[in-house]
Amino acid sequence: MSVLPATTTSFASELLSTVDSTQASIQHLSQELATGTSILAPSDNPAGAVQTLSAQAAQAVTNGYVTSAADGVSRLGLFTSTMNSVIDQISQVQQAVLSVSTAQTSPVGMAALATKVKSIATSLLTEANTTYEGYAIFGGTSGARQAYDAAGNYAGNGVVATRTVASGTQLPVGVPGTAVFGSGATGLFGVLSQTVADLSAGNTSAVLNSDLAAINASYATAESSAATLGAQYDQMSAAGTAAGLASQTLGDQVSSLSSTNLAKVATALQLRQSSLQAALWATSQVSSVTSSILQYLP
Amino acid sequence: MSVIGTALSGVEAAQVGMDTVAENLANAQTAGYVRQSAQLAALPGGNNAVGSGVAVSAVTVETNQVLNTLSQATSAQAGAASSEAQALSAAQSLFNEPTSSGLQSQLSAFWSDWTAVANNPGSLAARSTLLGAANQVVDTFHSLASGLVSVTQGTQAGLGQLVGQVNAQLSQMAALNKAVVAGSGAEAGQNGLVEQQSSLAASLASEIGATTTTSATGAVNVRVGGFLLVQATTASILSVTGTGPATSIGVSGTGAPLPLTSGQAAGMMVALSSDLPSWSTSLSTVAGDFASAVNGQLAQGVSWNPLGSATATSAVGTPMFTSSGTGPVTASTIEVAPAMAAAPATIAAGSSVAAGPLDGSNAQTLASLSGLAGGPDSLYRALVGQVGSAVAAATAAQTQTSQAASQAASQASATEGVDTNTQLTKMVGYQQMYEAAGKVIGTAATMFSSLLAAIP
Repeated sequence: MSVLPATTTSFASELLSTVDSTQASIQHLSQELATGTSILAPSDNPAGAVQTLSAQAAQAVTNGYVTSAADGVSRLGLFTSTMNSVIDQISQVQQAVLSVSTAQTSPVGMAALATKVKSIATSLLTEANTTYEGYAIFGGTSGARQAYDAAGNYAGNGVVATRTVASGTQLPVGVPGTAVFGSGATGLFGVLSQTVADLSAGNTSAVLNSDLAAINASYATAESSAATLGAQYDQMSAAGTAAGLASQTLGDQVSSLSSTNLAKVATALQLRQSSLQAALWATSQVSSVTSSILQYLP
Repeated sequence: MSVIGTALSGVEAAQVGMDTVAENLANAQTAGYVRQSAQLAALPGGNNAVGSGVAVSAVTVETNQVLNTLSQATSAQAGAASSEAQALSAAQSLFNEPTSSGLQSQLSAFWSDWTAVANNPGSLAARSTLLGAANQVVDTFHSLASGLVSVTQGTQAGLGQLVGQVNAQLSQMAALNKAVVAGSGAEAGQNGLVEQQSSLAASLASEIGATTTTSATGAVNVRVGGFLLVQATTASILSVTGTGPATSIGVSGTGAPLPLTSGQAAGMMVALSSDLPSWSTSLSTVAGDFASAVNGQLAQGVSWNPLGSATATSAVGTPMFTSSGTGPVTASTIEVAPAMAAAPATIAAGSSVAAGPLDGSNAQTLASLSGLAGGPDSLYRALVGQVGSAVAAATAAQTQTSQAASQAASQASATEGVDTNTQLTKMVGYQQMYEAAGKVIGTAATMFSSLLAAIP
């Protein structure tokens, strides 16, 4: 500043404006420390605020992917455990049918086998009608509560539900019932009821030829679906992990964009407080500085 | 010989000098006070070449016109910047960003709820949650819209009050001019009136960016952008007309609006005419875009009734957001369609009839609208950026201009104000002058009496 005569009022007003601006900046810094965010309002850093909002929105979307993948994983878990049981039971049927021998098996033995296969068929129907939140998991997206009726006819549709696990990436969740059990006379349940009928009738040649071949074919179908489901499970959980990591990264990004640099803010606050003290001291000295001549007057 | 007369003039001049010192010291803390000083002049004449004493030729007010004009101009700019920053900051705080409770988080929650519906299209709970989120977004649009309206109204009311105050000051200035012109030549009390004129001029500068000129008669004329608001003893009356962007300040007797470029009123006018309406419009664009993006995608999907049943019947998707008024969807008229609020099953989560009631692929597409380029989310973020930049610019201008103004005011006060040391020094000078002149009178009296004693 140029050298001008200082009057009491000019002196005081200049010091006061320093005190005011220092106090305002102390207030802002304290707020930053208290809230932990460096962007208290968009005007603090307009570009940063927009970036923060974008990152927050992206994080919300990614969290949606994580949720979807978790939902997919839990559904696929039910699918695979059901499939394990289905395959196990079909192989029991295979064993029962293979135990039939042309010469040795008595009609009583055949009837007992028929009963056994029939009870396995009932159990398999229950597996095929497994539900998740009230809907048959093998019913596709039909909304059917039961995928198969008692006669083994498919009531669902062939559409597989998907989960969005990344932008533009939709992974299938499950397989339609027909891919596992078929439908009608050619389906697993049709084959099993034909087998039961042949066993009851003592038609060993039909049992050992056409029925066994059909059962083996059903087994192969079920196994291939189980492999598909296993692959889906792996894919889904990998996608879930990836989405979780992405969400973490975005969270870090949000906090680095908007979080307070504690050390920096605390230091700045300390500096401002010191300068406020100095300015206040100087203000209190105004009268003694400007009216010193009074001391020398009689 | 006129020793006594000459000395008497010294005594009288010293008295006037002491008067100015006393007045100055008494007003050392008066804001805007300009110090006075007695101008002394030697009197010619008398019987010889010596002269006949001293006279006070004038008591002047030591105004510094350059610094005064600078101070008024900077305070006018500071007034404009601070009133604009105030209005805009108030509007900015409505947005409450970036926090977890602003509109962006609510939009994100809304899109996430679509994911939940997509994952479980047969669940009534997921759909009800989605409708809850939709209602929250709608409420936030409403409160933002009405908040912007009340900031606008508040600013409008502030402008009305300010103009009322300015009118009072303009007529006060005219009255002062009248008194100054009438009393011209008479010294008594005149400087006090001049002080009042300059303090009014300072207020008018900061309020409406007025500039003043002092005429030869002592009348102060007040001007704003070519309009003479106070001419000698006549004051114009200002009035606020129109609302929002159409707000203008009219001058009585002329049809034209007052062209304000600085002063608090100008800052308010900028907020009223450009920033606030543009934010309101952008917010309504966001709301309209949001509604049409959601509704457009819903129209491509199908809903099933009753919910999630294999025997449900399908229907083409219906809109989720409608306008509560007659016009298009805006931030204040957006609402969740009453039909959909009553029947969550009508939310079209499926993409085709063939896909069946548990298909959630349309809901998946809706969830992905959060990242739509140029979609509602990005429009809203652009609005937040726009608000932030405008407030940041206004606040920076406020800081800069108020510093300039306080520096100019302090310079003016330093040159025009009262420095107690100077005044005290002058006081000692006048005191000695008074005592010395008194001494001369005493000595002259002694001289005369000794001369008289010599006469028998």
